[in-house]
Amino acid sequence: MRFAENNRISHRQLFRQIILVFPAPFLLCLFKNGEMLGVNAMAGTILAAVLLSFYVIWLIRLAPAYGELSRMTGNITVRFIGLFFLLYVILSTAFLADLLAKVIPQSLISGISGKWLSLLAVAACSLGTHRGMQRRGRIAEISGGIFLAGILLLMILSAGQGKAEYFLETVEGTGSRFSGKWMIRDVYAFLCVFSGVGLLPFGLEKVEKQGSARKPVILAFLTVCGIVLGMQVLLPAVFGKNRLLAETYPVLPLLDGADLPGNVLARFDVIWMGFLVFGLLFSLGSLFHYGNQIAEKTKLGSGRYWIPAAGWILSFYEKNGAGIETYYGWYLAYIFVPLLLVIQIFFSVENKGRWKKKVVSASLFFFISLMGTGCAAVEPEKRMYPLALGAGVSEEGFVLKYAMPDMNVTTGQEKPEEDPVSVLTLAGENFQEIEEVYNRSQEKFLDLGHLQVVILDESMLTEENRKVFLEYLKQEEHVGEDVYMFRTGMLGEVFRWKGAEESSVGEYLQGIQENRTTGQQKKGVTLREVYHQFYQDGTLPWIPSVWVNGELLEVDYGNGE
Amino acid sequence: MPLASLFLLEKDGETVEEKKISVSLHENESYIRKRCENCDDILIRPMRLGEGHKVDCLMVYIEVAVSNMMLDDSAIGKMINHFWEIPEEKIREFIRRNSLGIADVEELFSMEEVFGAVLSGNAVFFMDGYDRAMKISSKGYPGLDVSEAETEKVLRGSKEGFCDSVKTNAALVRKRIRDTRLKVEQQSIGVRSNTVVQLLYVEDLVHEELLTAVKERLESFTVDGILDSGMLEQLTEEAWYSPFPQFQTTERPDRAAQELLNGKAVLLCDNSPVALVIPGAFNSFMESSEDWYNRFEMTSFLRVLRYLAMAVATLLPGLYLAVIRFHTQILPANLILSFAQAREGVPFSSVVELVFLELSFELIREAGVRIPGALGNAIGIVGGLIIGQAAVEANLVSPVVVIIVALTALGSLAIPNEEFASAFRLLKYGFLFLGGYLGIFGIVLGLYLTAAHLAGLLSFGVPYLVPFVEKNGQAETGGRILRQPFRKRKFRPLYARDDQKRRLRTKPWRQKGKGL
Repeated sequence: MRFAENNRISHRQLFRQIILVFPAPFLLCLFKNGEMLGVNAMAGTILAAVLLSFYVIWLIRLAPAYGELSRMTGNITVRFIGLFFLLYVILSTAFLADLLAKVIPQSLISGISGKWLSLLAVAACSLGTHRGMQRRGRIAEISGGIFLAGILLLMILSAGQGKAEYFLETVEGTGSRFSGKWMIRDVYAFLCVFSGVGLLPFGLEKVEKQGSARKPVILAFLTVCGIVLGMQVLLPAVFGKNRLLAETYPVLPLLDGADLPGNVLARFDVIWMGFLVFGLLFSLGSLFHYGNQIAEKTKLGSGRYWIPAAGWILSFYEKNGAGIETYYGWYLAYIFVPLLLVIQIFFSVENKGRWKKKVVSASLFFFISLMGTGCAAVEPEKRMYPLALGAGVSEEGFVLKYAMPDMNVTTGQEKPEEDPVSVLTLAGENFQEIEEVYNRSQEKFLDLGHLQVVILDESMLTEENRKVFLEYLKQEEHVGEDVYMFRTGMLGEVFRWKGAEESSVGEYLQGIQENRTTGQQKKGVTLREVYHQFYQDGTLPWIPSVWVNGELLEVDYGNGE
Repeated sequence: MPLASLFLLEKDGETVEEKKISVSLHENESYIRKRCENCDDILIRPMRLGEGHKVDCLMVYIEVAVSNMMLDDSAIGKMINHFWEIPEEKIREFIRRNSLGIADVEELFSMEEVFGAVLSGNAVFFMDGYDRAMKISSKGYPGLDVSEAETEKVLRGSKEGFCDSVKTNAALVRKRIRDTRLKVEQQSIGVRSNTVVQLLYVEDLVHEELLTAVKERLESFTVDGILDSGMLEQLTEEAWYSPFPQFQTTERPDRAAQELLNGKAVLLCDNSPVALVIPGAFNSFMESSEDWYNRFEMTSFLRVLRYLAMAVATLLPGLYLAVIRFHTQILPANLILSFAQAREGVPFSSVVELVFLELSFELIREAGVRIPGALGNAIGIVGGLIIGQAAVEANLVSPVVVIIVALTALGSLAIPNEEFASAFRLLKYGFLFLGGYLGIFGIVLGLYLTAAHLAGLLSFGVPYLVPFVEKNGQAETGGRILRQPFRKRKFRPLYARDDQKRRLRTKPWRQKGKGL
C-alpha cells in the first residue's frame, strides 16, 4: 500500500511539527519584562535565523550518526549521551509544565490550582508517545496549518491596536541604540531557546528523503523566526516600551483590547490563549515522544512514564524564590548549548496487552483529576456584571462603586424596572479590603469581564492613588483593556443618574463614545492608553470628564478632541 | 476510436483486440472462464444436448439476473429442451433456420458482445461447432423489488438500496459496473450459520496488499455465527476500542460501486443490507453519494456545512459551558446577561442541566428509532416540543440550553454516516465535562487528545485522516473538503493502483461556443 507503516514522515509533516513546537513557548517566554525587544533584538533574530539555517544543514548531515549512536560511541558512552539529552527533555518538560501552571490560571481559569492543570496536561500529552513517528507527524499535519493560520490571523487582528509612536519610542528610546555586544547577546539567547533543534537529528532519521529535508526545515525555522520578528514589532507598537518592561507575559493581554467586526464576540483573547495552549501541549507531547525515543536508542529502557513524571515533579522545584524558570535559562546558556555543540562536533568528526487495565486506570485518573479541578466554575446567573466601575476616596480609605445593568432592559425581554439604577458602593482601606468586603457581603461572584467604563473621582488622580488603583486593575485578569476611562468631580451623582432608556451609566457612556459616525466621534481614552502613559512616566493622559447637568449626563472631551 | 470504447477495451494501457467467437466450444469456455475468474456471481453451465447427449453446449449468465424459470419459459428455452430429442447433426441446422425468428434471441459474433450481454443481465448460449452465440434476453437485474436505502436518502440519484440477500446485492453492484474486472469472491463464515460473505473489488484498481489483508482478517477468527455485517466489522477492525468506525458502511449500491471505482473493496454479508467499504477514512464518512451527482459549488458548500455540523455536534455544549462558567468576557454583555437571566431559578448547575437535556434527547431519539412510522414522528413532537416546553416552564432547564441541545442534535443529524455521527455523539460528553470543569483549556486538551487518537488510527494500513495527511503530490483530486468540478477530477484517489490513476479523459468540443 502507499501508506506502509514504515514509521517515516513526509517533509510537510516535519515542517508542521516544527511550526507547532516552537512558537507558543517562544511567544510566551521570549519577551518577558521587555526582553528580546528593540533594535538589537530584531537584528539578533535575523542573524540567528541565518545561523540556524546553516546549523540545520549541518544537523541534517549529522543525522546518520545519530542513527548509529551505539556503534559509534560504545555501550557506556551512549548511555551518558542519552542521559545528557534526557536531562534536557526533563528540564524542558518541567519548564513547560511550570509555564502552563502559571499562564493558564492567570489568563484562562482562575481558582484552579495550576499544578493540577499542568498534571492534566502532562498526563494527556504522555498518552501514546511511544506509538511511532507517523502518529506525531499526522497530528502535526492536521493541526499545524490551522495553528499557523490562527496565530497569524490573531497577530493581524491585534495589529489594529498598534500605534507608530509607541513603536518608535521603543526603537528610539534610551538604551535602544544599535550595539554589537547586545546584539550578540540576543543572538546567543535566541539560539539557546532554539536549542530544542538539537533533538532534530533524532527525528530526521524518520524522515523520508532525508537528504532533501533541508528545505522544509529551514523554511519552518524561518517561519518561526518571522513570527518572532513580527511580535518584536507588534508588542512595542501595542504596549509601548515601559508597559512591556512591567509585563511578565506580554502576549497574554495582546488581544485584550481588540474588537472583532460584527460584535459576534466581545473579546477573543480566550481564543488566542486556546491556540497558545494547543501549541504548548504539542511541545510537551513532542518532548515525551523524542525523550522516549532517545531513552530506547541509548539503551536506557522506555521513557514513557518516568520522563513525564520526572518533568512534572521537577516543575515544583524552587529555591530562594527562584523556580525552574530561572534555572532552566541558566542550564541552557551554560550547560546544554555548549555541550551539545561539543557532542555534535564529535559526531561530525566520527561521521565522516493489558488494555482493559490501562483504560480503567487512565479513565480513573482523568475522572479524579477533573473532579479535583472542578471547583472554580461559577454559573452565569450567580455572577454580578457591573458595566461601570467608579473609584474614589472616602473616610475609610477608598470607595468603589459598581453600576449594575437593569437585566430587563439589557436583555430586551420585559419592561424596565421602576428603579433601573442599581449601584453597589463599598469602602475599605485599600482595594483588596474592598474585595474582601464584597466577598463577605455579596452572594454573587464579581465578574468584571464586561466592564465598559471606569470613572475616576478627581480625588483618585493624585500620584499615589492612581498608582494603587491601576495596579489593582492590572491584577484583575478579566478586565479588558478597551474599557473607556472617565473622570468626574461628582462620582455619587453620576452613578445615581437615571437615564431614560439606558440600562446603566456604563452603557450610556459607551454609547456616547461609539454610536457616532466617524466624523462625530470624540477621542476617548482607553485603559490601554492609560497604562501606556502610566508606565512611561507615572502620569495619566487627558481623561474626558463627565458630570450631571440636570437630567443629562454630559461628557467633556477637552483638548483631547 | 470513440472515447467510450477506449475505456472498454483498454487494459494496462494497451488496447485489447476484439475476440471473435470460436467454433470450438472448449476454446470459448476457457476464454470465458479466464475473463470471469473470481466472478462467483457469473454462472458458467456446461451441458450436453441432442440424442445420445453428444453436443456440448454452454450457458453463461448472472445468477440473480437470470432465473432458471425464465430460461425454461423463453422460446429459446423451449427450443433447447427440444434439442434433447433431435440428433446431433440436425441441431446446428435447426438453430440456423429457426433461432433468428424468435423475438428474444439475438446472434452474437464476438466475445465483447457476449460479455456485454451477460453483464447486462441476459443469458448467452454457446454450442460446440457453431461460431456464434445466442443472447437470450431476460428482464435483467433486480429492480422494483429492491427497497429504498433508509439511512442514506438522497434527492438526486438512484433510489435503490441493498436488501438482505447477498446475491441480489452483488447483482445490484454488477448492474452498475458491467465489467468482468469486477470480481466477486464468495466464502462462508460461521461454523453454524455458514453465512455467505462476498468480497467485491475491481481487479486492476485495488491494491494487492489490501486484498491480502482483508482475506487474512476474514480468516483470523472462527465464530459460530455471523448474523450481520456489523459483527464482521467488529471482528476484523484493528482498533476495536476506538469509537470511530474503521469501515465505511453504505446501504446504497451506487455508493458501493463508486468506491469500487475508487480502488476500494466492498464486503457484502448475507442477511444484511449494509455493505462494508474498505478502507474507511475520516473524509469519506463526511461524503454522500449525491456529492458525485450535484454541481461542485453546491457540493463544496454542503461539505463545509457538514464539517461545521460535526464541530457543532461535538463542541457546542462544551464551549457553551466553558464560556458561561469561565470565560464570560468572550460574549457581548447583552448576550451573557440574557443567558444569566434565562438561568435564574434553575435548580441545577449548568453541567447537570445540559447532561440532563442531552440524555433526554438521546432517549427521545432511541425511542423514535424503535417505534414505527407515524408513532415515531409523534414521539418527536411529544419529546421535542411538549417536554422541552414543559421543562422550560417548570424551570428545570433554561431556554438557552434547549437551543444548545437542539443545535447539537441538528449537527449530529447532518453527518451523513450514522456510525460516524455516533462517535461524535459520544465525544460530545467528554468535551462537555472538559469544557464545564476546565473551560477553554479543557476544550483544547480534548482537541489535542482527539487529534492524537485520530492520527494513530489506521484502516487496513491506510491512515484514517487521509486525505488530510496525504503525502506530497499524491493528493486525491477534489477529495478534500471542497469538491472540484467533475471535469477536473481526472485521477482516482490514492486507494487505486498507480498504473490506473486516470479516471477521466476529456477533449475539447469542436462546436464549443457555437449555436445550433
